[in-house]
Amino acid sequence: MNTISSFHRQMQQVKDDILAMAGLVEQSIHDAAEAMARRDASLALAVIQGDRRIDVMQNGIEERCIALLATQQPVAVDLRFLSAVIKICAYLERMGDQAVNLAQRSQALEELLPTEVPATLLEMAQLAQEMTRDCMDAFAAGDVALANALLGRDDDLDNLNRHILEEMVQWMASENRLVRRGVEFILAGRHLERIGDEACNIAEEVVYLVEGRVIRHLGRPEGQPQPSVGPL
Amino acid sequence: MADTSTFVIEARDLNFYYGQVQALNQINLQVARNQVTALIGPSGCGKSTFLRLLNRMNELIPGTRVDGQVFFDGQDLYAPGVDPTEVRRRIGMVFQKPNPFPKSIYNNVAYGPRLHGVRDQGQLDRLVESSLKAAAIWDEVKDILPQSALGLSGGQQQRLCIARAIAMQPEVLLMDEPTSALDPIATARIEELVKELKKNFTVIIVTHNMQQAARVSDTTAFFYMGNLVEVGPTETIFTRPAKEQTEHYITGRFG
Repeated sequence: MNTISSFHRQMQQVKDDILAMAGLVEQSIHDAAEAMARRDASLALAVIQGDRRIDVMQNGIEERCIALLATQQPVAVDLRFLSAVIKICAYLERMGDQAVNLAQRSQALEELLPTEVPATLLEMAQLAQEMTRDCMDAFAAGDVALANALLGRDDDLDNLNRHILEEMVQWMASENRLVRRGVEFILAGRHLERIGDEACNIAEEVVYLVEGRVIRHLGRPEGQPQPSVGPL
Repeated sequence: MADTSTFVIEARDLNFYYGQVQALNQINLQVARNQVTALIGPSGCGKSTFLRLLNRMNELIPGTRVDGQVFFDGQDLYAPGVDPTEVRRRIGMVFQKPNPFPKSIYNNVAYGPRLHGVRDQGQLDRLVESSLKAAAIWDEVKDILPQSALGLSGGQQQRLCIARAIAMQPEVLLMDEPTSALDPIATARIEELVKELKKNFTVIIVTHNMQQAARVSDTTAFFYMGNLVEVGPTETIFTRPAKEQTEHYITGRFG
């Protein structure tokens, strides 16, 4: 017989809250990428100003998790859930910070001569957004297959990041006045690549939450290439 | 046969009946030596019945029947010719409510050994002192040994009862919810004591307090409706149990 206690209602509230926080982070990453693609300074500013809300949510969720650990002494799946949520909300907060960094790149580019954003960078932004959405979908549904699939896609993002570095080095070498813009694009690639890393951290927590297995630092699932060290 | 150096008790295909009602179904469980094993499960799941089978206490209840085997150091406790009194000496028991005798503190501890023929006063004194020390109550009672045990607090009485069990020099201590009648401070002292006791004894503890099982035991066995659902290292049971029933019980998802 299943009974829903007030404890489990509070756990559901924590889950709702972290999904709401993830929604804000997704929006923030999306807007930061849009701001860069469209040279939209006001959107970039909105991303930077909106980050405070994400930070406040992280603190609130973390506090609630610690209170539940202290007062309810949860075990098994409940313990794994709270432990995973504490980490996931820290990863989400860092993803929000990367969106802020990306928005700052837009602001910097705004002051320079207009330049088309490299297609590789737009592709990275697209992939980073998909990974952000998928890791939280995997969390919401307890979908280990989706989490594992996402871990494989991080290499695509790393490869694109390497690609943008090479492109920009060539571009900058062609003309000195392109250096500032080239550096901003390289940094933007780095921020997006970091968002992918955080999404993978979340995917690893999903595997722990569902199966109780720690896969961090164990390498990739069978048949998937091992990560390589990035260029920066 | 079990490796007696690792497992002190082994139940094999153990069934138990109260009249027509089967209270335990085909229990197979090995209890590791010098470890604390916790038995958990909802009321009526059979955990206390199982505990009492380990020192033949259930046969004091009329109309009950056992089949299967319980090996203690390789010897079947239910084989013909086994003396239940000797079984209960080697496998001691501590009950839910402290039940000191209405005697002096000293005589509570000395009672069992005297009954078993220890007459030498020096030997009795040493046994009383070592038992009270092992039960972590010596410092509190050493100056009041002739006083009545009934004047002690509940927590002290329970530790005295543990000392009384230890004085019989058992190998195994069975504890049936030993802290359910105690306040949190007395409970914490008993829990610390249980962790100490495993150096010299094997402890099997029935508890309704899941956090207590998590705190004191090395192995946890989950009983449900007369079945042993799952047994494993306590850390595993409380972080990632294998069986859904276990998970539902320890996370409070069933009533």
